[in-house]
Amino acid sequence: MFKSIIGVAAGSALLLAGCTSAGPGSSQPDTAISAGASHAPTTINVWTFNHLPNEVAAFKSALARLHTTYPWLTVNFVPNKDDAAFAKAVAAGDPPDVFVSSAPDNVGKFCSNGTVADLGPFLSSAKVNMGATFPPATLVYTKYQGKQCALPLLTDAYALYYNKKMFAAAGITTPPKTLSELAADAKKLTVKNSDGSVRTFGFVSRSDYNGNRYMYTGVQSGNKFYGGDGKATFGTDPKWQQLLQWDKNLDDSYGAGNVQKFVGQYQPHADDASNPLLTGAAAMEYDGEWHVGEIDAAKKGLDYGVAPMPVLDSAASTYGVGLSLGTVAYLPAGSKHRQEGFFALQQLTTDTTFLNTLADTVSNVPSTFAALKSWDKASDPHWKPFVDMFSNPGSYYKTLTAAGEEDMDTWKAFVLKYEQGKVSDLPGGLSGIAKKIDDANAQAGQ
Amino acid sequence: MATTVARAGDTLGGARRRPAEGRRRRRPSKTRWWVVLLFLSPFVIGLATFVLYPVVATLYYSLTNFQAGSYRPVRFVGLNNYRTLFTRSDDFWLSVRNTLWMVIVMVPVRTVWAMLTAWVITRVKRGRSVYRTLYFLPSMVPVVAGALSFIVLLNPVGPLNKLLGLVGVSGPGWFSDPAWSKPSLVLMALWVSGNTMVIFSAAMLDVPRELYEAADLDGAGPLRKFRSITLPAISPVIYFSLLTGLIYTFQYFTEAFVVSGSSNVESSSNQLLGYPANSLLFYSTELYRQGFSYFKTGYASAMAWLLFLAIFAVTVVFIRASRRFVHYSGGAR
Repeated sequence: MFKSIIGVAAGSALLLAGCTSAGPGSSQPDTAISAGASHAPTTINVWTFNHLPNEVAAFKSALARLHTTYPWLTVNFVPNKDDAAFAKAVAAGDPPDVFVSSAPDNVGKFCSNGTVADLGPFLSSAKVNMGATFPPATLVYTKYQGKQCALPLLTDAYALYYNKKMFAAAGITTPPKTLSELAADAKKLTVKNSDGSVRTFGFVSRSDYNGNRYMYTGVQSGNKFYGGDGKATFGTDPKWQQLLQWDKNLDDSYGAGNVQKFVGQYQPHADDASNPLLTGAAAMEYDGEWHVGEIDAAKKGLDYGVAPMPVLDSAASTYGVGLSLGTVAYLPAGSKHRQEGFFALQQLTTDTTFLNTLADTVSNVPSTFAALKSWDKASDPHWKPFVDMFSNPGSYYKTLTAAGEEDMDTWKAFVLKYEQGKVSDLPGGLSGIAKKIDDANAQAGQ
Repeated sequence: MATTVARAGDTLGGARRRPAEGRRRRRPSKTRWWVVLLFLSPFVIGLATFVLYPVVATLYYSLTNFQAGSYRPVRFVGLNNYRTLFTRSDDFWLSVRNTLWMVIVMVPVRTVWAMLTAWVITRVKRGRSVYRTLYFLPSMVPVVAGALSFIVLLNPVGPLNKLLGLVGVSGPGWFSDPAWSKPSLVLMALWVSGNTMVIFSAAMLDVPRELYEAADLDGAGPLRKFRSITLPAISPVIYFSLLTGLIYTFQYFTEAFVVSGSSNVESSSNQLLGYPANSLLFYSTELYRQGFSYFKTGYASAMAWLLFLAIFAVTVVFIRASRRFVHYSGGAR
């Protein structure tokens, strides 16, 4: 009996151990395929988060062109796959050969866990000059501890949208450049009803409204999420306090109830004709570049301007920078066709026609210098601020860590708690949240 | 056909039975066992593959640092995941508090609501089945569809607040206000309490009429009759409702996931579960976040085991405690 139990336990342990991924094994070297060389017919799997019909059509068209140019390469394209689906496929030992993710938050996690391949050897072999191909802002969010674990595939930048007509009526001639100017303009533009409710908000800064959370990652306050030692800087850099106090003071000026009502009304973020900038419920708004496309579709005649998001007064010299992050494409380490997967990845992320077509389809910014140069929208007054911001060497996203999106989630929850008046000791709270984030990173093996 | 007759003094419950005298015990043939196993095999294989194996696997993973999708070597970490949960995770305790809030508030409120609606419906003389159908209908709506409907209904400038505005009441932010988000979910739970109401309704109609007639003769009022006749008679249903509600609420997930996810912004892969301000971060949503957003499979497995043990312990305590208040007709327990 005892022997049977031992036998069953040993068998179970063996079975369970086998269910954790044993590590990628590839017979192929980490080198690129020469585009001109002949090659045996191969079919690869490309997964992407994109799911809207126009996005899927743009991908299919690009992949069909790829097949026409390189008939040996056939792509099985699978849309609507998120990071969780990708991780499950890796755990099951059957990852795709290329995976396109909507956001870069898990680059650090996937890179440190060996889930995705270090593209360095492939890029060297393919003689891709990264600095000359991709703008520096894209390299911040595709690298982890020096390893190029992803490539950018279109990018996003965030800016200030403002209603020109309302600006003129309030006597404001230029968009604000510092957060103090922004708050002063917001107060001028705010229109209250006789019962104390707000008809038009100058600018709602609360972090859970629209994409506002990205205003609080450091780029608008001239500081970094993580210091040189890799530790979160919330407890040590006074600019975080200044930034959060500015935010709370502005929102409090409208009345907490009014802001709560506004935020609740527009959740999930309104990107159609009911968007507050379009209806006149807000005079200014912080949003990504895709909002230009949304405004074109919903209210083409709106007289609005786009400018870089103002920065903290103590970081006024950095005005012009902006938060930049975007879609990333991975080569899974467990891919059965790593060379062919890299070939497709390289084509998709550097093909100017595809990048510009997809950029037009989803209203994003192309992510290579070549594509930016030939993009017809680059000089459009609504798009130019984004292109400039994207090309600004000071634009960046926070450093990525092995904890994935856990650090941003933790920070966002804290900022919202503070905004709702539930943090009485801001310096103490900031130190606490820094420790919590550092602990999460340490636990993740950073 | 051989028959046996119980001897005087034998009881059906506990006494050992003797084989009939002169009768030889027949060994079941091996062939018959194989046939039985063959017929049972789909169930046994299914149970082993889809229930037993995952249960054992999560126990094993809970003792490791396993992360789904990671090629790092899986390391045995003993009880480290459990220790981290208890000592270093504020979010874990927050999710426990939020879940307990729902257990303490939503389960009794839902039960009382279902009981009251059933009581009202059983007193209706005409069109009872119509009312019962109307109350029951929402429980047939899929959970996700119901949650999405409530998001629209409870929008700060949505239909409900507009109605409240007509009577001079400024409605709250409901799902977007941390103070109101959990009560809003309770409100939604009341809307879908039709199935419990039907069970209560059946139990109430099953109470012998003679008891009420006797109480009438003794001069008992409606409240006294409800307290002394109806409540004891339907106590098994109250017990059933509370127990199933308890187990369901400990694992409360879908409604909170939909409400938080839909009330959130942009980035598809970066949903802020628990929005607003983590007020809807329940145990199961935290488990999901750890397992499927942060890919901490070992840690999430430890959470799953703790949840299982907590539900098991609470269920045992509740079953034992129920002996005091549950009344079964005929005295059976």
